[in-house]
Amino acid sequence: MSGADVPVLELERLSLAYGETVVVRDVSLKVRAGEVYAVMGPNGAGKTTLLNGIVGMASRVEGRIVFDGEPLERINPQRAAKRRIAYVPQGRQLFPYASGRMNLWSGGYGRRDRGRLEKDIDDFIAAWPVAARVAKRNAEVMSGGEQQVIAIGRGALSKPRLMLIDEPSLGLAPILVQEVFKLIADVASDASHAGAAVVLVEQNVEAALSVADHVCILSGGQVVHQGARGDLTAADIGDMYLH
Amino acid sequence: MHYLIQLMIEGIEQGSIYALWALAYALVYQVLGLMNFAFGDALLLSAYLMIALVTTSGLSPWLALAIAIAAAAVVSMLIERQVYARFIGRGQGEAGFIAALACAYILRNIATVMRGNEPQTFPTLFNSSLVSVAGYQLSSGGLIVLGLCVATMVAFALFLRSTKVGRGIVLAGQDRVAAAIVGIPVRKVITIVYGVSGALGLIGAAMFGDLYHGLNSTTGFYITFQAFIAATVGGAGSLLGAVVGGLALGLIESLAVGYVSGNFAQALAWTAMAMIALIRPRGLLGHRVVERV
Repeated sequence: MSGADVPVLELERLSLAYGETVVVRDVSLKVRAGEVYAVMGPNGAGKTTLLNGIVGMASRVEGRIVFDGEPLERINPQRAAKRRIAYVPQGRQLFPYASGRMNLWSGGYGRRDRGRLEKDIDDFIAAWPVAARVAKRNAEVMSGGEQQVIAIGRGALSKPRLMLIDEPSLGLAPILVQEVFKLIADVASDASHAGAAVVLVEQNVEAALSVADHVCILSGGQVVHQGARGDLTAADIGDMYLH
Repeated sequence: MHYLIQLMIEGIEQGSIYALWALAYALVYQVLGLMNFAFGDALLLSAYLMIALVTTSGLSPWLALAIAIAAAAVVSMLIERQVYARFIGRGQGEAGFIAALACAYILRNIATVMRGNEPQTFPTLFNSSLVSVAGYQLSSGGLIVLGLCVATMVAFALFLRSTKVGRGIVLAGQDRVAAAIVGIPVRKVITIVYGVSGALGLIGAAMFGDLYHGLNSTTGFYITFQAFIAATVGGAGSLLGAVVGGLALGLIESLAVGYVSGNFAQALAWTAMAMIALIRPRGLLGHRVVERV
């Protein structure tokens, strides 16, 4: 296999738990650089747990997580960031009393090219009008959509190999959902660093399908469907939510 | 009016020391949400070390001060690593509080074993004299103390604003989970915060010792409570608030000494601060709580 063919992330029969409660069972998937893998399913399906497990915020019960060809052991969010795994959790988790620009800067905390980082922040702000609007505004007073753009931008500025994004459309107006998903597609295809592999947890089926290359449907913590985007329509996926 | 302004100048001089203590104290609170009740006694122990270095080893006061600053940083970091770290994230608030008080007594006991219970004469850092400025009688030592405290605070503000570590401290203080997610080494930052807090506090303690020419074994508790009150009234989540709280405490104390009595100054100042806290429960510059939608 060539370097490009090696998946950035590979989950092998992964089971995850919080304490004694097993929430995700036997999940396997592969994501390559430049690809978006959408994980969908009803509430309580284990989607967020799957992302938490990758960064060590849920316990691994069985299976393996392989990142860039190596098993990911003894991981926690800080070590994950160091390995260039960017996590955009549900609720965004921005720094509330820091400006949009400072939140973006924080994404590059682990980068050594400080001068380049400032330029990348300028470029990001120039490219995304929403970010320009809130560059000087504290996160606590931003709208949900503005926060989401900054949160994804923060992840992107770490120049990630892998980006995990949880429910980015939650609570956003449709116009901002479009903006946010354009940004997600941009992160995956970013030519400046060969693109990131993206695992996207999303309940908005149409929005997710607009950017996804692969789809996985979880229900009750287990995979009920997995395949390429074209395998299923939004209506098929909706049916799976109901059954 | 002349008398009032004279008192206010003296209050600001005194308040700049409280501001430094409050800033150091609030820094720990901001990052950990923990009231460090061993704060003042860690400074007392280090200040006693400074006195010992000057009186028994004949070191210059300024070199002894530099060693004491380093000692205060190390003692504070050791307390964090060996004591407080065991309580963080375990929901053991009361146990942590008791441990902090126990630490305070242990440090004070070590200091008294070192130097005894008698008040200690503090080495002179500045030769103070009275100077007349625009008709006001000012102590040159007090003005130097004010200048040094302000310079320390400005340098510290620049450190927080412009350096990677400083920014990491500010961000970890806002949200530790978010800090971990972006790769800020939160554990390391917490230890650094304790060290910086100890160093800043010691500078304040040395200025205090120089201004009053002495310290005693209860000075540690006095520092802790002055810092605690100033930081809380200023807004426990705000470093700028802590500075404002410290200056307010100094001003109120000075006015109480001038217009009421030196015997009641501290009681009146603390009562006034309690009233401010009652009117503004989040402090003078505390963060507002905003629900995210």
